[in-house]
Amino acid sequence: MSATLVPVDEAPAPGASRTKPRLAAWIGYAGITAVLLLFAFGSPFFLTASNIATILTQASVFGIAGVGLAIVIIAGGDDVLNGGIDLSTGAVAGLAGTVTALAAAAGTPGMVAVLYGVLVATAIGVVNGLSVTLGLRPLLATLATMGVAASLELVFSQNLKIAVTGGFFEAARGSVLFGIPLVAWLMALIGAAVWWVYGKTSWGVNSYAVGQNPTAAQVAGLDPRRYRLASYVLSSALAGLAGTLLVARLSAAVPGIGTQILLDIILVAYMSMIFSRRRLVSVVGTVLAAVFVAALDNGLTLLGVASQWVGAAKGLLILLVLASVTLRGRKNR
Amino acid sequence: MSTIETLAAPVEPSPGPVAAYSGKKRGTLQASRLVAPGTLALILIVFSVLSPVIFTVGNLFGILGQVALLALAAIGLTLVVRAGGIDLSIGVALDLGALASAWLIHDGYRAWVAVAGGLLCALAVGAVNALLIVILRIPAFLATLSVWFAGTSVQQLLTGGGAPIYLSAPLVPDGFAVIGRGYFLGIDAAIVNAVSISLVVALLLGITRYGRKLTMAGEQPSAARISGLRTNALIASAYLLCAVIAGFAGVVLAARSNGYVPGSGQAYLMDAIGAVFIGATISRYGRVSVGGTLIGVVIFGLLDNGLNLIGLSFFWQDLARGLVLLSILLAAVVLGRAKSRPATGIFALLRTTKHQALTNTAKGNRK
Amino acid sequence: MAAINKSFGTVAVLDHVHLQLRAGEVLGLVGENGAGKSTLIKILTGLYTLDSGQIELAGQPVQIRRPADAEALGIEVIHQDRHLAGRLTVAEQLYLGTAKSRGLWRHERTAQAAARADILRTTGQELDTGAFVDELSVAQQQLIQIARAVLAEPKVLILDEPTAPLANDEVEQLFGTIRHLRDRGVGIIFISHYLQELRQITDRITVLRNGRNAGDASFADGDSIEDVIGLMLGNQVNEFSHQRREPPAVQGEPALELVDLSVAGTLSGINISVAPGEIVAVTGLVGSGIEVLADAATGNRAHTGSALLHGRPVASAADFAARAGAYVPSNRHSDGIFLRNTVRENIAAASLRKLGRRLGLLNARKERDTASELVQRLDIRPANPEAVASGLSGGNQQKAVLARWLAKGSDALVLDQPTSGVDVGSRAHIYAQISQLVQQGAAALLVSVDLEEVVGLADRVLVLYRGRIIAELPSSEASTERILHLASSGQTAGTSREEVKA
Repeated sequence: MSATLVPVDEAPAPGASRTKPRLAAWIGYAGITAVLLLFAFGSPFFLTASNIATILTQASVFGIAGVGLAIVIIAGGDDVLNGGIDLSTGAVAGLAGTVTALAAAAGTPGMVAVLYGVLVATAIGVVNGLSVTLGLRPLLATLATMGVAASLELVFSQNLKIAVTGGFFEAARGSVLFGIPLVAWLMALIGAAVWWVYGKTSWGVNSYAVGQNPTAAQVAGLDPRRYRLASYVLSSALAGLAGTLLVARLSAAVPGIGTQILLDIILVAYMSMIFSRRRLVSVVGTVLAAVFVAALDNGLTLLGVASQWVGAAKGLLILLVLASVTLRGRKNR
Repeated sequence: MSTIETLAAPVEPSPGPVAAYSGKKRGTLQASRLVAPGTLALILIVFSVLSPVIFTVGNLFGILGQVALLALAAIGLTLVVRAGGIDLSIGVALDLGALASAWLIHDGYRAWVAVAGGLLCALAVGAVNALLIVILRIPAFLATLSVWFAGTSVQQLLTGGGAPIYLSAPLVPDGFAVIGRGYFLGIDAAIVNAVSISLVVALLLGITRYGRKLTMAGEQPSAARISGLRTNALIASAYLLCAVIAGFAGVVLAARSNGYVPGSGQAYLMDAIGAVFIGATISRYGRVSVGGTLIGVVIFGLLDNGLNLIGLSFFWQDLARGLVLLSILLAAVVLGRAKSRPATGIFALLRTTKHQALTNTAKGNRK
Repeated sequence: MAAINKSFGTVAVLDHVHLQLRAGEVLGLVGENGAGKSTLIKILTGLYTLDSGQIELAGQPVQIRRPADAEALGIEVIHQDRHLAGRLTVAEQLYLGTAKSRGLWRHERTAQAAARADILRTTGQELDTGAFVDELSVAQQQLIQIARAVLAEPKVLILDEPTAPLANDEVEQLFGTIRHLRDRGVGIIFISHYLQELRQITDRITVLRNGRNAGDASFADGDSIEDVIGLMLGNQVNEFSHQRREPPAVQGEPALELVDLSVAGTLSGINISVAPGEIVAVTGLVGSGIEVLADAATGNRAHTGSALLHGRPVASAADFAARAGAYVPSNRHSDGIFLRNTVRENIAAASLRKLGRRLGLLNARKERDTASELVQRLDIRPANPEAVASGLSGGNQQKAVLARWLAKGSDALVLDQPTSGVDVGSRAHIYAQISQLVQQGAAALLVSVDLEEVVGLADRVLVLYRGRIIAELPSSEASTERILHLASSGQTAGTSREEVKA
């Protein structure tokens, strides 16, 4: 009698359920490969070593800042209104770039100038982190610091382009190691380091748990505030580093560039979801997405597509990514 | 309950025993609610000491004229936030409104055609938002962010790479020019427009069934659904209305500046969000309101004007604005926390509650 | 634990409760819903702090202020609400925050293998430890919780309704684990509604009733299930002293009908029909599927089969409400009351058009008149239609939700746990209103785990057991003992209707 009254089990057998996300991840990869193939056939120049170097150089800025944002989303959860988001990342990058350029122009050695930039960025990160741990919504807290950082940048630069010269920045721009630009190595190095911390250590698993379900994390004896505070500080520090790279690439600190790159950073971080088996933002996925977005910019330009369409293509891309992630999420519910 | 529903309802109150506390001390005024008006008063006092000009009638109207467009954008956003969402694409709606109306005037159409064209273009932006959010269930923040992206390039495409449209003053029909530059009883038309739209929206939210339903759908969507309200239609309508109001701001902008400059609308976004959430701090329940939003807008306007009068550059004004926004929000959250435990306070809107996460899990796991 | 007091606002949830647990014994903790079991456990584990009273562990008074304190003292709990992070793998979740997850290089394979071994050792079950937690069934998720708690090698282990999502053989495995732990000297508190299970596993039982100790029992000393039920129910004050309704004489077309209604994983093949003028109650234990029945019937949850209102299928929640269906949901705070609106606004929520002016305007006076009348009729306190709902007690909030439908004039009611967390006085008012409505020809489907209520109100009682209706009792045969027996054992002794075919 009782045997017939066992409730119907909702979840499929574990083996069956695990193929689904994998398949969906493959669709992401396949789409990206298709786009890249299209560019490769459309323009013979696309796959040349020098063009690939350009793409990687472009990707490094978004990649490094994107990894920072990814950390925030990991530890804050991907619910945008209530969860982790750092809107200040672009403005912080711009501010750090300006500080670095000003310091370099004042005669500070390049390395130290970069350090100044990153330090200022980290300070903003601390403000973000403290505001969030005090209980302010990340969206609002980082919106406010975004305004602060963007206007500090203008206050420092007086809205003028500040050129940087000197061997250090030229070296940072031009150096190539084993045929790959130095900055791309830097992105890879940072990506690997953060992947190790967030993918391989207990700190990483704990951060994911905090972002997924703070109550579960607390029940397990973790303090969510620690992981969140750290995520905002790290995010800003990485954004600062990205800002100084941007200065090196452009040979100048360009005022107002911070708000322009914000959208790309957000795009890159959210796009990483399609590379992730967890269906969450991931570090390696962010680096891949950064390379892909840079390649998309580059490829569309090579194909002769007007720059206006590139923005539209990116907007569409975000929507596609979100729609696919939403659909995948819904299936599993 | 999916994450999407949570997004639509950032203010879902925490169930369970915590709410039982709310029985006490409801009558006393929360200190957090005084933060925004207090800041406003403080700014007024400081600047009136620093600069005697600020209290002249001419200057005060000048300030209002400057913030009229921001007020319009923020009022539109107020509707969306009331409905439990957020709209980052108001700049796009504003720009498209300005673009279409300037274009139509440029091509010699009549004033009313230009206005209608501007509003229709803006409405299209709202319709895309509503589609993405209500039907495709993409989180509002990300959906409107993509519309912002796409809208920016649409503008560039329409203007051949971002060329501004300039209207030579003699060719602009009076009926159009008056929207942005006219005077009504000696008051700047932009102020008249902003005040009348504010009044309409305030009445809409305050005394109509629509306003009541919208608020309910935004704050507690599942309770609203169970009470028989068509929450999807309500939330969609908020995005449409917001876009139309932002589009109207664009029309006013075009008439005021005699032309259209691509991307000028985004400048209003951050301030509008700031103003709306500053406004939320004056409500006991962290509920956004037209009045509160206007207080936020005026704080920004006074701050800009005052700093201007004491001779600080434009860049410092921005900085001050950011710092004031951050301090008001932080003060409200900290005071709100010290004062009361329940998550129904101002708190609920500004702050992420852990109880919310708790309920979500419980529900999510029970399936 | 001695003389534990805990109150929320004005409501005392625990009143001088004593609990004693010896090392190496399994203590059952039982009581009706709302008797205070969960609150007691939350105090023990630091999720709530106690107002007064004392907790002693091994003779030493201890302070438990936060979950970490409880953990440090060796108190582990398996919560009824599963606190798990969805997108973590089983292995990650199992070792979350423990020494095993520390280290600078987590080897996923090794961790998964270790987790599989640990889960097998502690629960006797095989689990794919590389799967994500939210891909698992509820029962499998429960296994993680059990394994986690056991791995912590606790001195005191608390299990709050651990078997509700488990199948029979899984329950057996769990009991094996529990006995094993008990033999190693762990003190175990086992909370369950399934009295059969308690008889199998517990050494002693402590019974709570309305936040107080109702007495102790022991199956080993010859107490029977009936004795325990007696303690649980006690000599309750009868809230049903209002005029008992005449049973409906003529039954017309069913107002509300559920045909083959199923919800994946929880309900299967539910057939219920409610005629005008009758109250049909569905009851069952927590976990029997009773939680989702009302949601599915009112178009608030995806389901197969159909729910018919006045003969036509319910298309959506809005459709249900538009056709004079009334739904009083169980989760009052998120689904029922509008916390930030006034009582007047809450009452008017479903009938804004009826209470409005032309041109879509609100009519505050009409609303106030209606609200004032209903506030009086239901004795909502404070007797002020302009009071904000979040300041009301649970009972008064619930009255306001009910008043919303009274204002609308609904004639088909679905009431999901209408009196959970509601004080005795308010209950009487709610019952009186329901009875009166039904007397006037409304149909009511009452979904409740409160047996008193079910027996006191219903014309027919249906018993839900693990997702199916196993028995139907007319009110003359329905008694709390009988229903509790049916619902907790699943055995349909004697007269009952045929089991519904799937």
